[in-house]
This record gives sequence, structure tokens and C-alpha cells, in this order.
Amino acid sequence: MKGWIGLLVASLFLSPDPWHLTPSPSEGVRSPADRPPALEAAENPPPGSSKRLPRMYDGAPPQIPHSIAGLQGLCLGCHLEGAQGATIVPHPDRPNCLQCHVPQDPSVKPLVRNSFGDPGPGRRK
Amino acid sequence: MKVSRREFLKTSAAAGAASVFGMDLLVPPEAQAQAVVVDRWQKAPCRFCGTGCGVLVGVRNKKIVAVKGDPESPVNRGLLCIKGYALPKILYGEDRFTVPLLRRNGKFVKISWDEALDLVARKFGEAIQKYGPESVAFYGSGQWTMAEGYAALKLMKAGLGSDNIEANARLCMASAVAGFMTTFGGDEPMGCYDDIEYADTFFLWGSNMAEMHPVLFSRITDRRQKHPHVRIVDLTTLSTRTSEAADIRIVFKPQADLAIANAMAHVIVKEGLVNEAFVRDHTVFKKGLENIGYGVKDTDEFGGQEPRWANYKPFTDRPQRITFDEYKAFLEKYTPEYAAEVSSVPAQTIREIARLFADPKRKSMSFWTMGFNQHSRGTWINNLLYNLHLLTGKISEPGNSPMSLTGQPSACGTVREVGTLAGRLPADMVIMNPEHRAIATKIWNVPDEKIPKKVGYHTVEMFRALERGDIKVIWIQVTNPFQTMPQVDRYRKGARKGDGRFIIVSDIYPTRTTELADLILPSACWVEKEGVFGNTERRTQHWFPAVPPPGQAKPDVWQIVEVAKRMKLGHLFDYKEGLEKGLFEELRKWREGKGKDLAPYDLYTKVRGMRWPVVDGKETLWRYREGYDPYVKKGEGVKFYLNKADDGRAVIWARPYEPPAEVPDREYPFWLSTGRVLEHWHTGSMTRRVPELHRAVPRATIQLHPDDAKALGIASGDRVKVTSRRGSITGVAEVEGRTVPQKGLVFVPFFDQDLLVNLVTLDSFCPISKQPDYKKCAVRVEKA
Repeated sequence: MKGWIGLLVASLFLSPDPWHLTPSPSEGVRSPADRPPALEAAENPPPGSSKRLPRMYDGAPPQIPHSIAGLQGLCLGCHLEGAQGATIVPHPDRPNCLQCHVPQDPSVKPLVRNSFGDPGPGRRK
Repeated sequence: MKVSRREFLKTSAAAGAASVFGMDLLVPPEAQAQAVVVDRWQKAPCRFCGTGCGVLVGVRNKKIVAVKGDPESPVNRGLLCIKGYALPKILYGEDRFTVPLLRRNGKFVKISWDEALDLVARKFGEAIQKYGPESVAFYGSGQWTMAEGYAALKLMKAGLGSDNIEANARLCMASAVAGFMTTFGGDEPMGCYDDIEYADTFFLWGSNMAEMHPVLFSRITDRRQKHPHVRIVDLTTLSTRTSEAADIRIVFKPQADLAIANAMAHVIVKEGLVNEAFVRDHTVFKKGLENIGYGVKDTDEFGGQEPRWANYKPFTDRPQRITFDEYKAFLEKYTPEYAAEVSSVPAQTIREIARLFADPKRKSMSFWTMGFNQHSRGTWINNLLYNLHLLTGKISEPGNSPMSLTGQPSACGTVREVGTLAGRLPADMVIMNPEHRAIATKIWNVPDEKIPKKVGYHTVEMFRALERGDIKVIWIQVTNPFQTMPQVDRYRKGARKGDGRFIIVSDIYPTRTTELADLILPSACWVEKEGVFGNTERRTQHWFPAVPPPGQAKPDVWQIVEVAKRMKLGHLFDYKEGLEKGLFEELRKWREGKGKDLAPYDLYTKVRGMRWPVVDGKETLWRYREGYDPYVKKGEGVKFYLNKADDGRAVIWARPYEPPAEVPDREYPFWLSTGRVLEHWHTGSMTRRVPELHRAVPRATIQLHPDDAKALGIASGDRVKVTSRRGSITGVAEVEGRTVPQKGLVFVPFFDQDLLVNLVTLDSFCPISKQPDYKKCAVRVEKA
């Protein structure tokens, strides 16, 4: 737990909010790191202590197996170089990580069974 | 580590991005499906939002086993969002409809296609005979393929003599259409996505692009990453992921966008930032009616009389030419200080963004979505945004571009270009215009008296008419109105009032709409059929079927034509070249020479889409400007040629600030805004059946500002009740999640059929566009 908080602080230090030039004129805007844990899969273990989840199918983006509460925008703090055993991202030039990678709440049961199934490992062409 | 993350990203982007087909890929090929064994990969557009990303569909043994972003698609260059990656799974929820189902004694029983189609034809026929063609209706979708929409339009307007055909795009894009038509005399954007790579400042209005148009947003942030002078300005009523990524974040009071846009124009005029030559040569000034109401009373669209078809007389604006000086006088009131009072945005900020917008050394691109369109003055705010681009001449050239985003894959291609809306015909033509009717009689080969003359019910009025009993039979395809209509309780109850009402719903899964149907028809979905979609940037994209539909499910276009045959209208759909191609080729005839030209059908089967007008086999990237648009003649420079009434000029509109239909008061002290999330698409009927998407966002939450939550003693996870004058819902509170509303505003996504936020919303609409305002009504919030 301590480890990833340290990394979080370090990654904040590395990115002193370089694109936010004009302070927000209105209430209601806070940087993500100021925020307390949110509902989004808060049940999940913290980063650094999670196991990889299976992908939807081979080639689908890896899912996020850990809680991201308070961590939005900070993914590359660990995933750039693989700190704490994090998966190293093959495309660090894509900063909108949550566009493709989403956390999972393991306590949630599917509403309806999906017969897509597992395509299996197959052979590499 | 001394190098900043940003610098690292810059260098890695420059060095690492693979480049094929002359463009940078947005995602390296090795990040996508490599090892999947497939029989083939085939191209298709994504079936979710209006971006129109290209995907490659991996098929094995008549089943989809994977998709990947199409590296050859100029739209997304290999990148997708999580919904796109989930596409293979949307087809395989185990509760797909596979046979027609008829409601009998309160239960759905299986019937044959023959029985179902005979029944539809009989119900339509009987209602028309007994109550007239105005007693039947078709309600379709921006997810219709172009052929499906065109077939439905032709069935209604050339066959059944009814103009009551609408589509869910009325709830989504009608204000954008009305904005384009009133300002430019022709629908859809002049620019295209290529503008992103030329623009210096991006203005995002009421649009959480990071979640709702993520691939385009990635193109914007990519542009900024490589060009440090680029700025993103986010104007919004709630702080979102988009706000977090923006350079300048402006949170304004609901409805105050009208005041801010006028104040920006005020600054542009006062500070000499007007492009005088452009304004002189290419624009005119107009004003319209004011204090135009909100359509909330049933009598509003009936001239104040009893709501009956004979009295139906929907509001129409009365435009009037004014001079530039009169327009300047109109702007006098809209000082930044005035706008600051209305919006709570500091006057200095408004001045700064107006100067940034007008800076002649920077190119300005504007994006907007539902914040503008679902607005009780939606047409006006679209007009006011164009004013800024016209006053500065920043339009119709690379990087200077107002870009109205769409939410559905073919809201543009089908609903807008085919014209599946009351009053409309293909290519922006209307049934009320004798010249346009003459074209219709020729192409359709039907006599003039067959084509309806009186404009039909728009969506809100259509469902009000169903509730009143004036509409007896309605066929709903590819959409879920009994979840999405504002003030939905009234329309849900109306649907089951009996008394001869008969509701046909074509869909793939059980929804809040199929549960109120009399007859459910099982449909084919996406690559289970052949189709064409038209995206936000005028790109027309074709796909072939990849897999068969399950059970007896059939394409919607087949369903329409089979019913037509049973109503002795089969001749309308007798195409030798096959149905999809035949319908498309007929649609081309409407558009040829009208600035809307399409290429021959077969060409679209080979390319990654083309942007219309396609003239001599060449697509058009920027309309209305010489050198880019074949319709603009040599020496004309800029010509808004579709606006014939104003001699090829665009209109700068004097549109005032007016408050919305309902504002918070002591009893109902909060604003309510509804919206979407990245992981779910619209009413969630497909995405909630993908376990990974459901586990990511299992439910809609009631989202509050932390100060409001604290004052009410509410914490994240608490049960909360939201009540309006229409109804109430109870759900789980979320405080400081990914979206943080401004103080005094509650945000509830609408995807969750177990938290029907539309029981609470108000069915007020923009009187010009008839699009409802889902972003503003007054509610009370309490701990449940």
C-alpha cells in the first residue's frame, strides 16, 4: 500500500500539470488526485497487489485489475516503466488510457449470459 | 528521471508511431489481435457513436471472434475505444430475439413471420382506412442503415400517404440540423476530421468528448502532444474527463451558453476582431421571433387549440433581415459582465477566450454535442456558435471549422441525409415545397396526391398523439423510446392504454420498449446484414454481412419490404440490382447535383468510406470554398451555395438569451442533467450485455457536487431519491467520481434501465428544432 502511494506522489512530481495554464474560473473542478476514492470498482485491490485479468479475446485491450480511485490520469506513473510489476504499456504516446482499459468490479454478476465464449489461444499465423 | 513525462511522450510519439498508408497510426499494430485464428478479416464501420471508426471483423466458423481497429481507416487509424473492442460480444447475449413474438393475454407467444407480417400489414391498413393515414406512424433511428431508413421513408411517404415518420435523432441531432439549415441553408458540417491536425485552439461546448467521442478526442490530444502551442478550451456545466484534459476549463450555469456566445461576439465586434471582408462578402444578418416558449403544453403546437390532427400547426420561426449595425446594437447588452452574471464565469475569462478564438494567427475548431442540441434554445445556440466562426471568417478551410458531433453511427447518413423526419425528404428537401414534391413524384413514380402534404408529428408530439389515442399503430425500429423519451411515464402509460393501439417493435434484445409492445420482430444486427452508415464528417461507409443472424432474425429492411408487399406496395421496392444497392442507387438520384452527390454503390464496397459531395469520383474535404469544393466556381472564393434564399451567403443571427422552461426554486432547488458514460451506449441494451462493460460500470449513479452532498448528509454509496414535478427515482449516490457536477446540479446517466431518469425529466423542447432539453429541469434531492 505504502509503495504505490509513494509512486503516486512521485508521478505527480514528474508531471506538474503542464497543460493547465489558466486556473479554472469556476467551482467544481478539482484535479483527480485531490479526490477521495470513488465508486468505480473501489472494491478492487490497490495497484501493485493485483493479478492480471483475462482479456475479452486475444488482441482486446487488457483490463484494469486494480482500483483506480484517485488515480485517473496517473497511469503512466507505473505503466511507463513497469514499476511495482505493472504491465509496461507498448504505446505510451496514447495518454487517454481509460478510453480502452477499464476496471472491473468482480462482485458484479453479468445481467445476461453471453455466448461469445473464449476464442481459445489458437495458432499464431 | 529528469525528462518530464510530457517530453518523453513527445519524443516517443515522434519516434515510435508507426506510419503506414501515409498517416500515423494511433495504435501500434502489435497491440491488437495477432494470434486469433480467423477465416477472414472484413471491414465495417463501428455501430456505436457518430465518429464512424473503421473496424476489421474477425470471423471464424460463422461467428465473430475478434475485432481490431482498421489501420487503413482514416478516421481512427487503428485505434478504437472500449465499446468498439466489445463489438463482437454485443451480438451474443443469450436473450436475443430469434422469433416473432405476439402479446396474447398479457404474455408473449411465438408466431411465424408470415403471421407477424400479415398482422402488421392488416393493422396499418385498418387504421388508415378507419382513421386516416395520420393515425399510423414509424419511429426509427440514427442506427438504421441508409437503405433501412430510405425504405421506411418511401413506405410512409410514397406508399401509406403518412408523414408521421420520425427517428430518435430528433432527440439527439435536430437542433444541429435546424442550426445548419437556418445558418447555411444546408445540413451537415463543411469541414471534416482532418481539421483536427490543422487547428490550434479547440473549443468544446457541452461535449464530454473524452468519453463520448474518445477516438476523436485522442486525435485532439495527439495534436496537442506534438504541437505545444495547441490549447483545448472546455466549456461545460459539469467537470468531466474532458475538463481534466483541457487547458482552459470553464464551468457555466445551465443555459448561460447563450449569453457567453453572444458576449464573445460582443468582444469580437468591440475589439475590432471582425473579418470585415468576409462578413461583407459572405454573410447576411437576421433576427427571428423571441419569447418562443417551450412546447410543454399539449396545446402549444396546435395554435392554442385542442390537440387534434386538424389543429396541428407546429411553431415556425419568422426570420427577418437586419443590418450589421442593428446586429451590433443587439450585441450591446451582451457585455462580458452581463454574461458573467448569467453564467458565473468571470468577464475576463470570456474576454480571453473570445480573443483566443478570434486570434488571426490561430485556427479555431469548435466541437459540440448534446449540451447544445438538447437545449430548449438548441437552434439558437447552434446559430450563435456559427456567428463566431462567420464574424471571424474562420470556416470552410483546414483547421477553421465548426464541427457538430453526432451520437449515432448514421444519424447523418440515414436520418438527416435520407430525411426520415416529419416534413423532410432526401437531400434537405421538404414535402411542403412543390418543386421538391415534383422531384419525389418523378423518382418514386407515384402521383402527387399520394404524397402527404401536411407536415407530420415530430417525436414528442408523436408520442403525445399515441398517448391521446390519435395515433393507433406505430412501428418502432432500432431504438428504445420508452426509456429515452423525456417525461417517459406519460408515454409508457399511453402505450398500454389499449383502445385500438398497436405497437410493433423491431429489436434484438428485450428493452423497456419491447416490454410495452404488442408485437416484437427479431432483427439482424450490424454485420449480420449488409449496410451503409454516414458519419459526422459526411463519410459514407459500407459493409457486407459477416455472419448470419440468429434463429429467424431478419434485417429491418426485409421486414419493411415484406410488409409493403402485403399492402400491395411491393412495386415500390422492386429493384433488379438487389434491395440494398437498389435503394442506395435511388437515393443517389435525389442527391445528384444538389451538393450532396454520392459515389456509385459498388465503389463504397471497396474504399474506407468517402466524404460527400463525391464528384467525378473525388470526395470533398472542405465545402463552400474554392479549390476544395467542386460546387464553388473559380473566382467565387467562398460560396454558401445551398443557401439560395440569401444569394449564397450564410446568416449571422441575433438570438437572445432566454431562460429554460424550468429553473430550480425553493421546492425543487437543483438542476438535473442527464447524459452518457464511455462504457455504455445510449440505453445500454447492447453494452450492458457485455460482461466486461457491465462490470466496469454496473449501474447509473446519482452524481452530486461534494458541497451539496455534504450539506445533504449524503456520501458515495448512499441511497438517494431524486424528485421532480413529474416523478422520482431512487438510486446510489456518487460524489467525486469521474464526473463532478457544478454546485447545485445533479447528473444522472440514462443508460440504466433500472434507474429510469426520464421518469423525472421534462418534455420541453426547442420550438424550432423540436428537440427536447434533457439537460435542464428542477429537482429535489434527499437521502432515501
